[in-house]
Amino acid sequence: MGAPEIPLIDTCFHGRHISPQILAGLTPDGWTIKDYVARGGYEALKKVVRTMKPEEVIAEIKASGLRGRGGAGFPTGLKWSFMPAKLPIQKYLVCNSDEGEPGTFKDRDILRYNPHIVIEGMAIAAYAMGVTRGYNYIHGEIWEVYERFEQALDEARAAGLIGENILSSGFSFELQAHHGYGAYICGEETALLESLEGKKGQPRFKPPFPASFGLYGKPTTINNTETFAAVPWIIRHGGQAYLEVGKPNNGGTKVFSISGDVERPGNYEIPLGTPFAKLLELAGGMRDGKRLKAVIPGGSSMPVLPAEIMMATDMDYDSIAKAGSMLGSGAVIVMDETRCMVRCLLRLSYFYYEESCGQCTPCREGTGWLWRMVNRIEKGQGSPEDLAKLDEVAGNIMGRTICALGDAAAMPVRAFLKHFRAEFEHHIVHKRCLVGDAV
Amino acid sequence: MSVQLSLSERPSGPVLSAEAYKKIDREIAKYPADQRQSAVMSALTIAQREVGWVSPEVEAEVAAYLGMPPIAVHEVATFYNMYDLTPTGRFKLTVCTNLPCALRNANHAADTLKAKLGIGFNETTADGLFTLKEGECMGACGDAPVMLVNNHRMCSWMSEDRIDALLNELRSEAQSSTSRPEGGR
Amino acid sequence: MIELEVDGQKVEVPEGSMVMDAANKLGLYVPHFCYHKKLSIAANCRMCLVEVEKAPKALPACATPVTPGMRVFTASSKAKTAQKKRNGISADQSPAGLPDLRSGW
Repeated sequence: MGAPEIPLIDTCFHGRHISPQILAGLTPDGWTIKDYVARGGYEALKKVVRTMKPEEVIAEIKASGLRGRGGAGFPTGLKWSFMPAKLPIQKYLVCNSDEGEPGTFKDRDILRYNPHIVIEGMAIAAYAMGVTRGYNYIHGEIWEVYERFEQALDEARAAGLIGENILSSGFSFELQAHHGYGAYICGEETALLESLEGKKGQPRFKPPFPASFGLYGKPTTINNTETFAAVPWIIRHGGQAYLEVGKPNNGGTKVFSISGDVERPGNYEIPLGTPFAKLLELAGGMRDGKRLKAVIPGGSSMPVLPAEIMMATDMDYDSIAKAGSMLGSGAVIVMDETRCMVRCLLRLSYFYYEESCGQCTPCREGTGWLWRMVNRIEKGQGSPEDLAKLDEVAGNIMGRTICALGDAAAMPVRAFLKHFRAEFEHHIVHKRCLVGDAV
Repeated sequence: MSVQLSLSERPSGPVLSAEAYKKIDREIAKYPADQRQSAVMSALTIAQREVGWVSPEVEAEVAAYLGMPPIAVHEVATFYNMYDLTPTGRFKLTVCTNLPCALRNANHAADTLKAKLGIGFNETTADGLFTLKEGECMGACGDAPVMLVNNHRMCSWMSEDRIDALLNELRSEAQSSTSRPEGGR
Repeated sequence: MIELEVDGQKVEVPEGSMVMDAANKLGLYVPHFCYHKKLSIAANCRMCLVEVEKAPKALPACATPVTPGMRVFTASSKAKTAQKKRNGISADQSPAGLPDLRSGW
């Protein structure tokens, strides 16, 4: 038990996507290989192994302008070109399904309702980079989804679509699933590699980058679930067509996870460049008709934006960057007029403190300080100097840590202070909340 | 490098069942032959499902089987927060209270559980049935409030009614079987 | 051997050496806490952050390999700020109510 067969509030079956590619034509039970093939699945893989050279595949992905969908937005074709494709040594392909950025739940729906699209995308990527072994790292909190993905892998193996000599092409690619077990930091690509190797998920220094020293020290490419899921459509319709869905430099569709104070939280696949106001409308608008106050547009690590700015912004990398935040994972957290910004920041700050791997001083110590200072302020025990100190500590952590978790902890602090300073001051001066109710 | 006692040489016999070892072997086969350590997370998960928690004996046995120093297994068991290093109740309930869930009644769900069970976070009910834990983002924010039962079963939209129904279901499951079912929880 | 410049002085070190080795060879002191020539490189105390020309962020001297023609500044204002403030606050400050952190100075 736990959830009925038909979800009470379906997260991707709401029928409100716009030009979907990854979430198109899905049904709760339609995840099997039979259903996937019926909707054109594995045609792209056949086209690739039968008619395309590896370099041509990479060229097509480059032409599409596809950018990593996990949060960093790095150009995918460029990343693939870093791999020594012709070198006859063992190389690895890894899918980062360690979805743990608060607000993000798109990969869960992709994996449970369309697992084969990820398998197909990875097989195509492996062909392009001369890789014969791959792993999909799935975070442990979605255990049932991990088990389903393993079933999908069995189906694909039985059909000869992964494994030895795929489609009699001479190309072999073996794919396995690996599960995480409760560590947000394993979403960082080198921490993920450490975890795959059976160690604590503590990030490595970069350089060297995974394309030269990755899993077990071998050249490795790591991409997000949604990035691989975007590949089959690009192969079937061409990179140029993908680029044309969206805006220049921001091609294709993106699955946005929208949560918080909206009527219909869920995953919405829309072309990049769609206005935020439209996405909000798709999600049923504000819950109980309340007024929009703040939005975190790309997952909790990205700077918060106040309502006026967000309502004038389009959902794409460049527009959100111009507005002062980042598209990130595309996780949109919506907060209404009843929410205390100090309390919201407090819960986020606690998350980073809890999830710091402990390796380097600025993050290990700094995340604790940030949380304790925000906590004092929220509880009415702050003093006037605290705000400057809070901003200074956050600023000093940035750029000085081994990985981006330090930055991820610092950016929300600076952004909340920048846009909602009055609420923090109210907590300090009046020792109570400006808004009243909180979370 | 480490001394590997065969399972029959261990003083009290192996902690894990033959079935568990079959599962662990399937996991080991996913990785290169010289990388048995990669299977440590799966091995600990399989062990925890069977034994109920990651005990020092479990760590030592997994270390020996995979050819790892016991401290390396301990590092992994302490690093990933879904492993339990102390015994828990029969049903470990983990509630996410991170911001997106908090915006949709997660704290109310947590308070409801605390009230109904009479315990706080990191505590176990006197009858040994339930342990309550606070969790971080589980990647299902659209389903808020979200809970896990014994790590592997995700429960969504946990209103008071659904919490009631869940607790009743778990209590009757516990009543109808006095021992852990075959294969763990 | 690779030639680079640290604080305006030219030095030659074997390929694969770190910036810290180059600074040490010149007798220049770079603050450090987790680095020791007999230990593997941890680079996690972040005390040895130095400025490297053309690099956007300050880099840890103990873990940054030397490159030919590299120009390093161990005591520039960018380097000193990074070294003093990498813990989040200046070593002579402390968020009110919390213990002072003066690690290894």
